[in-house]
Amino acid sequence: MSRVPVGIWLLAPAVLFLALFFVFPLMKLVAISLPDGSFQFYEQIFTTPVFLRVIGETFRVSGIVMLITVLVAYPYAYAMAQAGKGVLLVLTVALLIPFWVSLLLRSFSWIVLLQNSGLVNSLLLSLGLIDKPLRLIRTPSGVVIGMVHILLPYAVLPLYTVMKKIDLRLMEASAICGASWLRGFARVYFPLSLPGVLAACILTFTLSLGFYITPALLGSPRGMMIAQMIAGQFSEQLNFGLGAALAVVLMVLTAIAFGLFGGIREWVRRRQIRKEAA
Amino acid sequence: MSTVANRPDTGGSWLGAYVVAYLVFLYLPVALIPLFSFNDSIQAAFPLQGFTLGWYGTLTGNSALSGALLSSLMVGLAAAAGATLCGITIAYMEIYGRSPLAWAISAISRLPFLIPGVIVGISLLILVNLSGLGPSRLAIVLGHVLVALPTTVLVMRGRFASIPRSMAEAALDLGASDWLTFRRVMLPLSLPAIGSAFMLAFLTSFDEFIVAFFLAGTEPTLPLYIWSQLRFPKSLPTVMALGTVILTVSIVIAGLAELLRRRGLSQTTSRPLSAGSFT
Repeated sequence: MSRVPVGIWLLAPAVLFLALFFVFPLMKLVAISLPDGSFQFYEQIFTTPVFLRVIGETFRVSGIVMLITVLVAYPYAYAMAQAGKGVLLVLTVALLIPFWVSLLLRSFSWIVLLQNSGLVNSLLLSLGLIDKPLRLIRTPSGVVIGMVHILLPYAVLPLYTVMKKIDLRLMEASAICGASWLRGFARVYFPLSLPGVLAACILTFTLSLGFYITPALLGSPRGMMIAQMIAGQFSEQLNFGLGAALAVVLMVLTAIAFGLFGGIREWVRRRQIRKEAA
Repeated sequence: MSTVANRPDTGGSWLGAYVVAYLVFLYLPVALIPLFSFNDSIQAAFPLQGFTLGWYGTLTGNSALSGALLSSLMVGLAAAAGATLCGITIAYMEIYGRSPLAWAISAISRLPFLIPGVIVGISLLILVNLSGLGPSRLAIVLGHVLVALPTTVLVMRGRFASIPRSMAEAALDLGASDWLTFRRVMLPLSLPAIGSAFMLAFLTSFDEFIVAFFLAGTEPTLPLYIWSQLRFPKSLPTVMALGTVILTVSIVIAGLAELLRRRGLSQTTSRPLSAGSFT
């Protein structure tokens, strides 16, 4: 194919912008976290129980959020992949509208819904399922509910992208061979959708790690996540070096999680290609 | 031809019920905002106390609110313009330039999607403090260009990839320069996508909280104003009314952006000369 020549100068504004306002500030951040080349802030982070607890809590919440989000998103993506053109359009639009509704307002709305006198508790009480209101806000469960709500579209879309390419005749073939729907699903459909599941896991987990608004509104100080800790070091404690070190830790952990999941996904993909070839 | 979906044993009705439950979960918090904005009570709680438009009246004549709105509009428009311009050039160079540099820049430009907003905010805060610019509207614009860049690059990449290469090649064969080809052929063809990218970038900036939280000087943006009001139970109904207005405008803009993007894509796919037919 012939090359369409374009002036490389076209990139100059973007390169300049990214270098000055993205790459350089990130490098500066790393520099601030290492005053005079000393690792004192990193030592402090990895030897102080508070910081370790916050990092642990961030991973715990992100892991739970990832599992629930992907589980909840899977059947919806399946419904999208099975739907006809008209239904698909409705399902897609319905999925994407909340995406553009202010994150701040959606998180706040959950306070109204989940508080002791809120809709969820009144409903459960009137149904007789519980006898006293559940504590849902200022607890990890509130944070998880709010985060799952925000992250669902990020899980549905990669799942759907993979599912719509799955050849449904394979499921018919398994039915003809006498497999029940469940068995066909477990042995044929689910393994084929695995790359989508992993892509959804990568996105929801890595995005969860950096959440700020939702845990700040729906969580308790005890259940603080790392983004809140970083923000606190900069806006309240004014300990920029420690805040910068925490930010670097968060970036490195995000990169490790991203790489790890990416590696697993690549491994699954290769295995599938090998199976198909065999 | 029967498909798997039509068989009763696939649990089609269960799936339908699941989709409905899913949508209730998705829309419950969204629907609550307009519901309480019309509720004649200072408390956001059930049962509802009757209908009122009074809370919308409290939105006018509030100078802190109109100042925040003006800030958000200015920051949003400037950030959307910057992010769209960078998005166009990065996507164009990646799809047509095929240089390793363009590929690398494109990868870097999509990173802010995965890097938490807190980090984008504090790293820029360090920069603006060092450079003497200080927290300001301009500082927020810089941050929001970064936050919106992944979206504009992705939208523009999708568009440029769908324009048949033969279009640019024909222009070049007929003697147009690189710049003329870009300006007179590629840009007009991608106009709907540019509009779409601009609107999505604007929405991203308009809703962004944490970057603005670190970079705002004395002029807060709308999300920062809302955040400051959430502490006062008295102002909650006003926040709900404001939220309803923002929600409606956001959905209309997002819908328009999606329509534009789709129109832009279907224009070329329906063309008889499909991609690469002459190569």
